[in-house]
Amino acid sequence: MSNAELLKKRIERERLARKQAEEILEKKSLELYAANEKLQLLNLELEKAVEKRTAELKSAKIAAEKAQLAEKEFLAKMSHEIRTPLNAVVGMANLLHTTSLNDIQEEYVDDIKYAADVLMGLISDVLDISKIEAGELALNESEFDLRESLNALVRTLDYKARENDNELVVFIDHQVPELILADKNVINQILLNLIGNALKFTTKGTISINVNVLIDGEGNSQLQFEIIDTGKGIEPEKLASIFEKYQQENKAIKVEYGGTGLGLSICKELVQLHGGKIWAESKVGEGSTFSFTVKVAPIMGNKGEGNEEVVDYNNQLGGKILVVEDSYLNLKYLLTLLNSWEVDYDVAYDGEEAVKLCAKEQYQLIFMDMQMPKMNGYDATKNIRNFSVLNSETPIVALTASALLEDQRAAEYAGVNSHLIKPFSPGQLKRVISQYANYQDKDNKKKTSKQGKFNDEEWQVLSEYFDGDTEHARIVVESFMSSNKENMKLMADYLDNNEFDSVTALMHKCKPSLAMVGLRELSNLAAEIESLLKSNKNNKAIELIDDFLPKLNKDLPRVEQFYQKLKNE
Amino acid sequence: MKGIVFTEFFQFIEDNFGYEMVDELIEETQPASGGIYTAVGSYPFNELVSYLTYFCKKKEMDPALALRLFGHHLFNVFSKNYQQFFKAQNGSFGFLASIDNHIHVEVAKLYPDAELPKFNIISQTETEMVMHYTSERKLHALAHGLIEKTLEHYHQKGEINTQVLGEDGSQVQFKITLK
Repeated sequence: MSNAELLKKRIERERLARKQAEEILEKKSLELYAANEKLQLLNLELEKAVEKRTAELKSAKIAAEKAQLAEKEFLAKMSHEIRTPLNAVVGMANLLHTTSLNDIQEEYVDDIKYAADVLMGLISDVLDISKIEAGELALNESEFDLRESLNALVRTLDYKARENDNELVVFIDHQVPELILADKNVINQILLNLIGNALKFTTKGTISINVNVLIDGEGNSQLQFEIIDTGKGIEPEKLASIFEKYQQENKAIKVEYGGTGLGLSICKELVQLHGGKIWAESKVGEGSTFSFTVKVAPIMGNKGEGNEEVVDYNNQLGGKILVVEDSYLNLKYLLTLLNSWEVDYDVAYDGEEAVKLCAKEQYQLIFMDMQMPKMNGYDATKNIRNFSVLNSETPIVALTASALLEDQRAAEYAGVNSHLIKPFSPGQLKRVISQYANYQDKDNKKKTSKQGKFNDEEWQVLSEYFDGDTEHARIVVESFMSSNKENMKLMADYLDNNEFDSVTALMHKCKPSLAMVGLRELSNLAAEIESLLKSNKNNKAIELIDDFLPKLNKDLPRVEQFYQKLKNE
Repeated sequence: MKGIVFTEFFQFIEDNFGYEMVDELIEETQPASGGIYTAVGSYPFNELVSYLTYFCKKKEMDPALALRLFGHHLFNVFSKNYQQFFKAQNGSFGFLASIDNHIHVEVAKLYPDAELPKFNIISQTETEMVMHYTSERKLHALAHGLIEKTLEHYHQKGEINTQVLGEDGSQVQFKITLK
């Protein structure tokens, strides 16, 4: 075979091979194209799936956030809902206290009041846990008597102590000031937890509560509390982690003693919030000592000598107070106090009414409930701040049952000057009023205690309502005497015309002033008449009114005598 | 059988005996494909057997030797075309182990119809590897040639011991001892 022929054969083979290769290439290209198409489709589907998943996650996140918010709102709302009737219980107990009670009754009222306070504390605890977790807990400092508060706390724990045959012993060093500026609730909560624990783990023993003053290098004072028990003690290895969250010594303790395991970690957070430290020492079988410190500011002077307790509010305020409140019971409590201090006031039952009143009259101070129908306190405050010519600068104090920081901020944002958290004591209300009152006549308010001139009944009135301030008492009695004549005339008119609603209102008005001049029996009678009229038992009411008038006439000379004595002071 | 084996076999024959020998193999054995191959196509295995049989008879050569030599040639093609597989390993044992684990996995993706031999590692130390070759093609001599060149590629010296396990020669044990 010639080379040329071989070459020709070879070329032919190569040509065919190339053709074959091209066919394979074409087929592979098509396959590749199809695969690519498929891949793109998959990619698109994947993108869609990712998009869908992202949207799902987003809406899940929004839903979760909404739920969290709803939970927060629920907490705030529930605390409000629970506090409102509880406020009424505390308020009514306070009012009951101002009536004449025998020793046993007084003890019962104290018990009611303290139980309500403890319940209020529990609600606060639940709120505190959520607030601590959200880092939202703020100190709410006020002046209070530590001895009184600690003794009251121990009294409520006494029954619990007796259950296990334990004895509670309190020792407060004489250097501890009578009044301190601190967060009473925080301190009580810490003590309640620690003493509660000590009682749980001790049987037939003693729990001592010691309070001492510590002065640091810079002259700042701290209070150191020690809760010493003679209980079973804590093992050293457990002691280190005892303040950590959800730590209980062991599972058996959880079963035997209950509790959330949050107690000590809440204590730790609260102590830190109050600028202090907490620690524990213990010996198994001998007992434990829990100690903590808190930063406090002592209040100079002693309780009862402070001039804020003895103020003539009308003189100071030089004008009216506006009370905006929709809850009947809360209003009754507040107005009774204002009446007893003879403070002039107007009442609005919702925000709209408040705004209307503010357009007509200039007030010295406005108490504003935040939760009201029609227009709430936030909107009413904003409205008054922005549009009221007469009251845009008037101090507004928010009356709120909510201890949530968030709510307080919202109120401040709306324009309130400060907060009075319900339930408040008469003293707290007094302090707020004096805070915004002008001290025009400080010198007139010197307290006198010349008991010798007054008989027992008179003295009781003096000390109870006027804290011995005879000048204040004189003004009150004087105004009673002048208004009484007129009131009795009005009463006769109303009765003649069968205007029972007016009689009801009159009785309501007379009630506190009768009590304040020492005519307690008549005051009670007036209250009874008022309630009978309100329930439309008019005949029975008229019977009592027939009783009421001669009694009043009989007692008036005594008031007159009292007035003369006051005048001669 | 993948076309690359045919194209490279012809290249191997041509390199050593000229294209006349390639032409003679085609003319004498009359394969169904007409002796026209592309590297990416697939062709009947028996055509390769016919070429090898004719060639060995003609040249009076042991088919095993011919296959070993062809293995050397094929290795040079592989190491040039698929450098990345060789660079990924730094010794012959590592490379041999990667054939089943990695290289053939990739080849199967590219050519789903390829019938690949199995290289199963039975045992391995620093200096000794025992490997089982399994293939219906019974081309263990080709594998032998490839292994020899692999050692050389990684500049390693060693002894390759071959032991046919079954009677039909479809399974063979290679014991490689490095020196």
